[in-house]
Formats: sequence, structure tokens, C-alpha cells
Amino acid sequence: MPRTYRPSHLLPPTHSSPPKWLMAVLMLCLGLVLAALLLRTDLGASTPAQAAEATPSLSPTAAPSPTPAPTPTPEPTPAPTPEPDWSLPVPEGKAVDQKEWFADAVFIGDSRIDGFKLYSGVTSEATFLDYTGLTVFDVAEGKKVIRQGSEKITILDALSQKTYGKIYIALGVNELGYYDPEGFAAVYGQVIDAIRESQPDARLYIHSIIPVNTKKCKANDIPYYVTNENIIAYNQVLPDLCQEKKLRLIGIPEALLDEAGEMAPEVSADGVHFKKPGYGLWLDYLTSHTGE
Amino acid sequence: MKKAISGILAFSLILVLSACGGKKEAFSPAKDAARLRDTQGVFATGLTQIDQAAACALYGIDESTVTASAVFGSTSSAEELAIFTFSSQEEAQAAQPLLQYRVEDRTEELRDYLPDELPKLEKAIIEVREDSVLLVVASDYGPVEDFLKG
Repeated sequence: MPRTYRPSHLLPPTHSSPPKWLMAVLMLCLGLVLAALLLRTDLGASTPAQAAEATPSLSPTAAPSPTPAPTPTPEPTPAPTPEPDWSLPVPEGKAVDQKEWFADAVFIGDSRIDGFKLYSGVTSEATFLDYTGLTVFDVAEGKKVIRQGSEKITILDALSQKTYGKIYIALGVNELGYYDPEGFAAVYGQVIDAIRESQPDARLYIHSIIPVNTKKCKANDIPYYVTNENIIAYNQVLPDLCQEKKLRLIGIPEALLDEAGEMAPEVSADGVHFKKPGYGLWLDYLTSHTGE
Repeated sequence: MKKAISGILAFSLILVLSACGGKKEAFSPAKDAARLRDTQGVFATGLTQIDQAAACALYGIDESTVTASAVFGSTSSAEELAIFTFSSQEEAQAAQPLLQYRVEDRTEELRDYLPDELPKLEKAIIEVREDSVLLVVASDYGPVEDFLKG
């Protein structure tokens, strides 16, 4: 049958299949692409263990911003501790437990300290280096007044046998007869130096001389030089001594005084020494004037 | 030499007193102290009680050996009264020289300070009875001796 000519655009679409070789090439290319995709997926997958170890990120990982360099914090300049005014008496504070406070304390003094030891109720853990009639001159000169077995030793030798946390010194009454407050202070200073050398870490407290009761002194034949005028003069040199040597100055317990500033008669035994309640009041004062 | 003689005399006095009192009953601290304090004239100044711990520290006595005590002192004189009982006679004997030291120390302390008190100290009585010991520094020793004779 002869072919009839028709323009090509009028011809119906030809439905003939592409050549087989072209199909094979296309299939090969498709296979290569799929294989490449699969291989890439396998390499990027992690093992279950790796997945478990990986820290899950709940938020999108932000691009790390550069850590800012820390600004150096300026060292705070410590405020200079003001030098205490050693010339002022230790102010009243919260009362301490006397058994605990005085357990590492030593008291050095005369018959007033002897009475304090026996009648105040102060802990027996405290050490007492006292002697009736003791003066700073006795201490400085090395008078042997402390009993140790069958022997006697000096205050400073006794002091050196143990380490103390606090040292309380109450002297002055027996020095009044010299009428020499400056000489008293000078020798007191030498004694303090010697004590500090022996006990460099201890707190040193110097006690003001507690006034006497004039009437009772006269009634009990207390020596004429034991007067409150003389005591005032001796007490006046103590603030300078404390300032120079950096000592804690213990003031005069007001509870022991009457309205005239003398030792109150009700607490006084003989004008100079106290009755038992007076020693108790003295102890109360010391427990609330520690400088803590 | 003088010190040695006075020491020997004092020790002899103690021995004599101890021997005299050897067969007597031990002191009863609270009861005997009360009796002596209540006897008129024995003490011229008021006595104040001293806690046992402070008293033991004063005399150098080991408090753990003490079973009872009654100790009194004066805040203005040499007068003193101390009675201790101990857990054994040996401990009472050991306390005796300590009380003697106390008398010696007070004598030395008060020689210039309160010389009028020295006669009281010179006649001080220290007596051991069984497991107890007594020290008296009194104003009048007559009633004290009567008390000791029983």
C-alpha cells in the first residue's frame, strides 16, 4: 500500500519505543545516582552506641560566639583596720562562759587576786600566780614567791612553764606607798616586756586599781598611803602604758563602787579586800569585758 | 640554821599532834567545821567558805583523792580552817606537808603585810586522823585544843 503524504505536524504522535541502548544507559545512570545516595546515607549514620553517647541537642545548636575575654575583677582594697585606742578601757560586751574563757588564763597579782581566786567562783582551771603584798618591783626583781613543791620560784619562771591564752595582771595597791606613779609605770612596762617575751601570743589585760573604802580602811588600820587620791594618780598612768605596750585596759567595775566612787561598804571586807559577793561581781565584770 | 630548827620544831609538832590524834576518830568535815566556827572566840574575823576545787588548788591537793571537805578562809586575816577526808590514810598523810607549806607561805606573805597576824600562824595546828586532816589558824587556840581532846 502506497504511503500518503501528510505534513509531519499533522501526523499522529508516534508511539514508537526509544532505543533499548538508550534505556539501558538511563537506567545505569539512575542506578549510579541511587547507589551514591545510599552510600552517603550509610556513611553518615551513627551506630546505636554512638547515638547513645551523643548528647542530644534539644535546641538548635547556635553558632558558637567567641567567648568574651573575662574582665579582670579588681582586687578589693581592704579597708585599713583602725588601730584600737588601747588607752580606753575594754568596753562592755556579751558575757562569755567564764569556765571556758578563763581555762587558759593566768592571773598575776596581789592579795586581791588571791581573794578573787578563792571566793569569786572563777574556774579552778585558771592559773594563779599571786602573792599577798606582791608589787611590780617584786616581779621585775625576780622575788621567789610561787610555791612549787618544796621550792619557790619567781613569777616569770612560773609563767614560762606553760602557754597561756590570756594574762590578767592586777597590781598597784602595794606600790602606793612609793608615791611614784611614773616609776610604777616604768617598771610595769619592763615586766610587760618580759611577760610578752615569755608569752608572745597571749592577750594581756592590765587591771585598773579598784578604789578602797576609806572608812573601812581607817577602821582596819590599813596603811595611811592606801587612799583613793593615790589610787587615782596611779590609775592615770595606766592608759599611756596600755597605749605604748598595746595592752587591754580593764576598767573599774561600777558594781563595786558606791555613789562617791569608793569601794561600796557592802562589798568591802576591810576597805581594801572584798567580801565574797564583791569577788563575784568582779568576776561578772571580767566575763563581760573581754574585748571580744 | 634558824629555818632548819624552826622546820624541825614544826615537823615535831605535827608528829606529836599526829601521834596524839592517831587513835581518835577521823574528822567529819562539815560537822567539825561547824562546831569550830560556832565556838566563840576561835575566829576573830568572819570566815568565808572556799569551794572544794579552789581549796584543793590552794593547797596543791589532788581533788580526785578527796571524799569530803570543809574549807574556810578570811578575806582580811590569816585565819583559816580546812578539814579534808581522803579515800585512804596514805593520802591524808600526803596532804599533811602540803598544809604545812601553806602555813609557811602565809607566814612569809604576812610578815610585813599583816605582822599582827603572825602569832596566829605560829600556833597553827595541823592534825591527821585516820583518813582525814585538819588545819586551823585561829585567833584563840584554847577552844581548839579542847575540841581536839574531845
